[in-house]
Amino acid sequence: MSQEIILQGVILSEVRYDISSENKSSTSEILAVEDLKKYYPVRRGVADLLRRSKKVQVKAIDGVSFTVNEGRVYGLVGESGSGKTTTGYTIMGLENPTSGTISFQGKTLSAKEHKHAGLSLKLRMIFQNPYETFDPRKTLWQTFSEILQVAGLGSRPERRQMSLDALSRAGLRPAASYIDRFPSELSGGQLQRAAIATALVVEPVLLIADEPVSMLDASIRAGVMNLLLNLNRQKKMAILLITHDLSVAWYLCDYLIVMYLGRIAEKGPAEQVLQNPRHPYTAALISASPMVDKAKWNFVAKGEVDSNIDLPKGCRFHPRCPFATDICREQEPAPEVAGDGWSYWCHHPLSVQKLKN
Amino acid sequence: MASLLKVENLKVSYRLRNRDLTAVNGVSFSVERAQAVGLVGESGSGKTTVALAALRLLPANGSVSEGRITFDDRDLITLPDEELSRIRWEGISMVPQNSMSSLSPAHRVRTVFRDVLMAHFSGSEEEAEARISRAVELANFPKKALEFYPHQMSGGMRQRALIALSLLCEPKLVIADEPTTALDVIVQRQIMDEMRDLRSKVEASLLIITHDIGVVSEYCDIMVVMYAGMVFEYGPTKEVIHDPRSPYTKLLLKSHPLLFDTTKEIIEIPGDPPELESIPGGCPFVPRCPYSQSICKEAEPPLTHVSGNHFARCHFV
Ligand SMILES: Nc1ncnc2c1ncn2[C@@H]1O[C@H](COP(=O)(O)OP(=O)(O)OP(=O)(O)O)[C@@H](O)[C@H]1O
Ligand SMILES: Nc1ncnc2c1ncn2[C@@H]1O[C@H](COP(=O)(O)OP(=O)(O)OP(=O)(O)O)[C@@H](O)[C@H]1O
Ligand code: SF4
Ligand code: SF4
Ligand SMILES: [Mg+2]
Ligand SMILES: [Mg+2]
Repeated sequence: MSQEIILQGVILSEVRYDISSENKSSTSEILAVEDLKKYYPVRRGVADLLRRSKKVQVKAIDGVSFTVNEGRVYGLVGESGSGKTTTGYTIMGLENPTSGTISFQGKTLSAKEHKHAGLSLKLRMIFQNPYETFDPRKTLWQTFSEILQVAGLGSRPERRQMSLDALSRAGLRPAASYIDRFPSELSGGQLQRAAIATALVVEPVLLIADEPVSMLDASIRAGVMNLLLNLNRQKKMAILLITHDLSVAWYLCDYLIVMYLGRIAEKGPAEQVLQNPRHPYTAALISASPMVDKAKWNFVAKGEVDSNIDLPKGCRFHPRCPFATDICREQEPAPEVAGDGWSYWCHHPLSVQKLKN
Repeated sequence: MASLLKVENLKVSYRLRNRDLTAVNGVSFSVERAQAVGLVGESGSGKTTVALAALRLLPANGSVSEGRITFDDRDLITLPDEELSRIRWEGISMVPQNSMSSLSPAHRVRTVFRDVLMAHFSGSEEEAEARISRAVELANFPKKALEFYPHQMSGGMRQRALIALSLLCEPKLVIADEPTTALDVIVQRQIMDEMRDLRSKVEASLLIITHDIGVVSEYCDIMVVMYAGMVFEYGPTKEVIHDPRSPYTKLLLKSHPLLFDTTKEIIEIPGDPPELESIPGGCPFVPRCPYSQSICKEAEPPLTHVSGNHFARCHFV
């Protein structure tokens, strides 16, 4: 099914695809992250150093496992500090994991392989801050040209044309008026589109997009969301979308991975997880989202995220959870299966009953 | 009773090297007592400029070229400086757009609070302490965090500190510029609930500036939609959301992503907002409007009465 709304020659919504039928056929696994951990040392102050107290660490990610299949969109969601960006950086090889493995297209990656340029083309990341994607001293054209050279694609004039095409497809039109600009000469939204264009030009197998729309206002946000969706549908590009906005995840994601304080709280098919969450944290995120049905979504998380230096004992969500009992304060929950490809970590999962209360 | 804040035909321009830019172009709206008004619109539509003009805090290159702003029946544009400075904390206070840069990194929160009270309040030491206690309690800011420096606090805590600060002198109107944009949903919800409660606890009115329609729809009685420095729609929030009359409002609402939206259709507003230096006349939405006709290029559409307190700007309301 495809549908175009054309009003006075302006395409409001580009081609849409029926994903429900497509979803049924399975695709092959391209990325597997296994028990990934990333701890950072913290210096708390001179006094601690002198006392040589036991090493203090931030557990940014603390045992995360998930897989990514070809051509699917995965949402990595959770509050600030849950470890989303660190997970992205570690997959990209921008940070070395403390422990755990990352396999890409069937091969376990070592730190050295991560540095290999060829890989950086199959695996690309759009950063939370679009200014990080570009070197401020280089024009967009210089950045694009370098990427294409590394990829060994095209002659110089061909590279120019490919870059113009990518910018234009990313909505920077006419591309010729943007390509020779420096990053500082674009607005935040325009630069975010240019960052996505760098992914368009080499068509990676997996695109990691870190909060690509959170700094944009609604009208521009919709354009970037459509752009990502079209990349996925037309080029079969897998996307790991990092966001704290569930409404964005609702439109774009096939699967959802909900993180809390460095751990996965729940993961599974996006619609099922959002419509029928098992984990109280997922329900709290939904309940706090704007314009949801207040009668059904009334799960409140108290206070703020705890420190990931002194992690709460037992379930790390317990200080904020309305359902916490003694076992939650003592024992970390083990994974439970809720359905096909759907698991959660909670002693007292939400039932359909609790959801309807 | 007269409106608490009344903005009439406000025009504000910024002087650039060789030309002027009209950032606010004939804006009118009012805030009544204990009411929450939401000012929405895309980046650059002039929201912050309206607020800065109301507090006479425009940067040096900005000036009000036309219009009136009255607060409690006093004309803010002509008010002598000393009287205005009293109004700034006791009448209207502002929670600024960027919480990171608006708390001094070198000072403890308590010091910042003290400085404000020293300048605007002549009571005793105990009274000052009592005011601080009351303000932090209202904003749900942990009292022990008064001893913190800004970098020791989360984004949510910094935002609460600024809200508490804005409440120190018990203002009648709090203007909050993008109060929750940088925050996660859970903390956003907590802070917006707390701000809503302020209205019943201290009878303060709120002017909330945001590009998040979700926030306005849940927390504001009145919604003002701005585009290119003009009001494109004005009215009771529910009415505007369920029956938008200006094409811009219609598209803005449709482009807003909504959790559990069954169509899963992402609608964009094509094109970009106009360059404010060179608005050609006529309706500024013409290049992006799917309904534009030849008259739209020729004449600026008026803000037309729809019903009750609901107005929309378009030739075809
Ligand atoms: N280089 C670093 N050194 C020390 N701590 C770090 C470092 N990078 C991240 N952290 C910490 O690790 C935790 C996870 O950070 P991360 O940036 O991955 O979170 P996030 O989920 O992306 O949050 P946000 O939504 O704010 O972007 C945070 O507590 C952060 O302070
Ligand atoms: N000091 C200034 N000098 C010149 N132009 C300015 C100045 N401040 C703002 N502008 C311009 O005035 C217009 C309105 O800016 P304003 O900050 O009021 O918008 P806004 O609606 O608050 O946007 P945002 O959502 O991005 O905060 C914009 O085009 C902006 O570029
Ligand atoms: S394990 Fe207990 S504390 Fe943790 S989320 Fe489940 S009910 Fe809440
Ligand atoms: S006046 Fe014309 S261009 Fe402006 S909003 Fe109405 S139909 Fe569109
Ligand atoms: Mg991050
Ligand atoms: Mg602003």
